[in-house]
Amino acid sequence: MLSIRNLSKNFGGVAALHRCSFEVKENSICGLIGPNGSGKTTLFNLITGIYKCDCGDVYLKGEELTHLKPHEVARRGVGRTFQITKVFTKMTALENLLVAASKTGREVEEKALELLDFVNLLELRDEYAGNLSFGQQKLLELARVLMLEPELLLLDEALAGINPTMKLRLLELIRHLQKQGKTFLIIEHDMKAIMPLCEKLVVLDHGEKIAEGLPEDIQRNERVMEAYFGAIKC
Amino acid sequence: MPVESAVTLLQVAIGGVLLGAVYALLACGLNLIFGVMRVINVAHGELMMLGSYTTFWLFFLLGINPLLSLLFSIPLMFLLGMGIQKFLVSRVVKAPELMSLLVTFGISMFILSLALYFWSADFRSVPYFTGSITLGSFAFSRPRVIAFGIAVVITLAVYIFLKKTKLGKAVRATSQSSEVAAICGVDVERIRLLTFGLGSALAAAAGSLLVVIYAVNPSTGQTFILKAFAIIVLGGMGSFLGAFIGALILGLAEAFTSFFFTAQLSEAVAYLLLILVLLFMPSGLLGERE
Amino acid sequence: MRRVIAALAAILLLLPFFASPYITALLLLIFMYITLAESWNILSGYTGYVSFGHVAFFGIGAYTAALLITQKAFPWILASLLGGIVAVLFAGVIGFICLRLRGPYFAIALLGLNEAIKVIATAWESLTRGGYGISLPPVPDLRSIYYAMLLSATAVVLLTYRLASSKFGLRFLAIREDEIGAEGIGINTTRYKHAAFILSSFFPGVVGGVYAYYLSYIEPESVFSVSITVKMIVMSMFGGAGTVLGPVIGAASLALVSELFWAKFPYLHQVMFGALIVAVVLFIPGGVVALLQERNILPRSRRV
Repeated sequence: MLSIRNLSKNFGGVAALHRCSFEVKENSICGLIGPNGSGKTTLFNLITGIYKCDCGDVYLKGEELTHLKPHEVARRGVGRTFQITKVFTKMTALENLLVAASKTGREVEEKALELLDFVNLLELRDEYAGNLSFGQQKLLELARVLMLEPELLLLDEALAGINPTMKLRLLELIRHLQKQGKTFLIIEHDMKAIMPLCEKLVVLDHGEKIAEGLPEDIQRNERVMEAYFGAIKC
Repeated sequence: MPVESAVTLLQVAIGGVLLGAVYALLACGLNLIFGVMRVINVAHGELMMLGSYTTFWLFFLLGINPLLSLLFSIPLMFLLGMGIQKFLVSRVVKAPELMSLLVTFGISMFILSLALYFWSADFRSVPYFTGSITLGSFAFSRPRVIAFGIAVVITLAVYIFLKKTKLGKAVRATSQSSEVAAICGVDVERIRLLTFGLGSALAAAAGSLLVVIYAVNPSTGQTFILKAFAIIVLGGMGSFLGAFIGALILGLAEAFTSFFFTAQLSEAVAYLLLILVLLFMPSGLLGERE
Repeated sequence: MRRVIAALAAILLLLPFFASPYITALLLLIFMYITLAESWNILSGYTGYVSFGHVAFFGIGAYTAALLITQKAFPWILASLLGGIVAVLFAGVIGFICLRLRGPYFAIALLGLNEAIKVIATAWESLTRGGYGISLPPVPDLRSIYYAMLLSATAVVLLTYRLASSKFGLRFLAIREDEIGAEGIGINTTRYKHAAFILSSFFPGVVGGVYAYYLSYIEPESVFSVSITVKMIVMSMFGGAGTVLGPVIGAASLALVSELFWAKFPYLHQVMFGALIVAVVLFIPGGVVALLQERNILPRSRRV
């Protein structure tokens, strides 16, 4: 489905990402973990075309994404959310969704309402997004991404900073969407929350992929423990 | 208060509102461009002036009704605006904002001086509509009422476009965050091009209407860009509705200043307003402080 | 290097004695533009606060001097110096208000300010005679004006040189690069912005006075003309804003070009300046000095 090949990005001589390669299988949930500053968000920005990569390629279903602009990547079925939620605060919840629609008309609006219902925000559809709670904004962001009818969803710390009830609800939504055939690549700090969800984990540290595999294996991987928990200790 | 003076004051107020609507056209365009690109288009006044001259020449040479000439001036400036964006401003949108300010300042000087060269500094007007409309004890200048009506219709149309259409939502989304808009599949560069065109078209409409009620020369754009800037600072940078309200306030303030003091002083009201708002209410009426 | 400078100084000092009045007049205008461009550069080039209204100081100096000369019979040199001082006082007050604004807000506020002053100068007829303007006694000797302009230009260039090579000036640059960051490392940015603003206002006021005397006639439209601000910006940026030599190179070359080729077409030469701002920003944002530094013709030092 998604294939990252040899992707590298430098910022003023510092390697934010170095020769990173991995695959995400169709209809799977893949976790992307690593300490702060390990290059996870950079990777998202490279996939979605916000940054231009120095070398390497990104393929989606065999189609090259590498040199596309962000909106072209979005239209090819890649949706993403942000670490710090970015909704259009001065637009209503419904309008937030309509921006991401590729067409106009009745059906689109019906679909938007359906999605708002799906994330339990239907009653708040005419509320300005800026007035929603943090958790609600996360849900709205997810609903907005779904408007793109994406095949692949990139979630950047989808679970961070929201209450446990909301967290369970989000995990449930993600599972549900997977059953519908969506593929996920999820950045998450909360390893416990993400382990049971993912079929595969990719671990980054200092811009390099240091491990990749089944969650159980990753948990036993010494290098990962060192990078991950070592970093937390510091 | 005697009835007569109350009527006079109301008359003055209405005069202010009538002019304010033309200011609103100009200021809404400027604010639209600022909102989407964070670029203050200093050449906006010159685009307005070109709109005025388009109407003037069509009337003077071919006798075309100034309202009909809107159909020429609007698309013409729409194209010119898109050209400016595509070939000049787009290169500096991501640079520090002073770069884009300098570029549009240069464009402004370029157009202004070219206009002075070809058309001289003589004042021109289009005396097509004359006389006044009386309503009870009120009398309104006919050209002003017509200009007001058209200005309100156009402003409203753009407002509805921004609120209701898919493209309008994309424009608003881009003005809030171009990055997120792109992630949502919005072609940000296309939206910028469209916005610059649309903003310029609004300036052209303002110019075409202005020349019906005002004598205009190439330097008029300079005076009006400062008014427009005062308006958007007052209304809130980037807020379309704020610009509309700010324009009406400036129209009123000018009308009353020239009624109670002198017309000359009313020319300075905009600058005074600008400085006062920047000092005491920096986010304007409807804007957000960055 | 020292020899070159000494030779140049000698030539410029002796020139009026053997050059034709035309050449003398041309050079004194060049010195005036060097003064103006370099002054704009002190504020806008070094602190990054772009001023679209710098001609206001020029105009204020011109009016102060003209009034002092015609009504109080001041000698023109003293009147011009007082013109500079009034400009500084004015900058002190205005800076207090406008320097709270950042970026484009500041630029446009000053554009509006200059327009407001122009309106006042036109409307206050009892003092300024409004649009009729003020006529001054004719100039007996072109040379003294030449030296006054030369002195102003030299002084402002030396001042900029001192600034560029001092800690004081370094703080201006810190404001340009990152004002909030500069505050973060303990720089009182308000104080330095004010300093730059005031330093950049004095010499335009002085040459405004000298210019009024030289022309023997001023009116609001001519001494508060935006086109003078445009020239300051173009000359400074073309040569290289934020460098010592840039505005000198820019003013000398563009004033010469505009005098030799364009003076016959007053509006077209404004057209050229407008186009030039755009071209410089888009293609050589560092100006001629940066180009010369890239080719190693000029040293890559802040003192250049």
